[in-house]
Amino acid sequence: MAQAVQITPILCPKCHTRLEPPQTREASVQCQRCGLITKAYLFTPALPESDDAKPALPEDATCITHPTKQATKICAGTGDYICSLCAIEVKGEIYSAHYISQSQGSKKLQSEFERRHPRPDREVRNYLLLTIIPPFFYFGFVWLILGLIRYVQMVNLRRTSERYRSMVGRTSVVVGGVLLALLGSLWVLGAGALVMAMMDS
Amino acid sequence: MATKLRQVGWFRRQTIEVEPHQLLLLQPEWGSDRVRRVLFDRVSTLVVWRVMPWDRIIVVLILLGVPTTLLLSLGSDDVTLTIGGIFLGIALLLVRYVVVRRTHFAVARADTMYRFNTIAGSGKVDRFVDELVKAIETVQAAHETITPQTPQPATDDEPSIPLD
Repeated sequence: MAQAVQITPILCPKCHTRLEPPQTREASVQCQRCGLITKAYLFTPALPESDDAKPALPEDATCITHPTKQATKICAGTGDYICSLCAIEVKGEIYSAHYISQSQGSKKLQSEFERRHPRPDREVRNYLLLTIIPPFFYFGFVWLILGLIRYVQMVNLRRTSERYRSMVGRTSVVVGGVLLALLGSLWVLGAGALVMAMMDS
Repeated sequence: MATKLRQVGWFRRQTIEVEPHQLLLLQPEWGSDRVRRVLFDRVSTLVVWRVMPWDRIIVVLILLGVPTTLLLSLGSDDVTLTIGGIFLGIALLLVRYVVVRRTHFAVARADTMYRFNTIAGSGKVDRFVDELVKAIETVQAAHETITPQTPQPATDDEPSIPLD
């Protein structure tokens, strides 16, 4: 097994005292000051690579975007030779900045750069809650329409996005649909009964 | 399927999920999850520790203890069953908090410390830690293979680069 290389000192999470570094990759460590026992794991972090691309010599392969720079990687999307300036690592694969900026590359890797994941299922749940909470239920028709739109988005997203499918199970889809239908029917029946009562009086 | 942990704080919730190349910290909002990513390539340490969740214990005692005291002070036989139920609820929650405790995690990556905690059973926490450690080691091992950090020494057999 490779020897662990400690880069960052381990501090006690409670009193911030520097802890005695463990001799193995995985060890229990006790703080000498506060007595807190922690389990520490050490890893070998990859060192940051230098960003400066080397100039290409006559026999070197050159970067497709920077013809004067030495190619050091191959883009997993296009198969082009690229230099370290163009190389971007995503999910363990190297892609060129040009490929990621293209529509094909951005579609494929968009989810890796997203700051927010859409969760229409949560909106469906919130609109369903608004339908039953007074005084919002007076506008139940609006919430149900919005909930239905989000429900359709949720089903489509589940079909297209693997990540979303792993987050939202089939049960959520079924329960959401049943509740939408149930509350929609109840709201229509209630509104109908109210209108009838008003007409009678 | 990857183990997910949930952190429920006073003003925010968070879901923590291990992916093959990164740790995802998802904070729920109205219609989306705010995503924070911790890439595994430069993670140097992971520290795990458990503490008693005193804040939760105190809140449970107040929220369930106050109505129990009020019902006891009424002194009617009709409320005996209710008081018993509340006592059982208190006992179950407190036993869970004492047994499970709150697990804290601190992941150090490139001079940034990411901290999160959860109240979950030791089996689930152990599974999560195993997955996290394996994923970090796999990514870092692959990184060493792809980009060796130590330059290869030049041999005499190699042709020298003409400098003209």
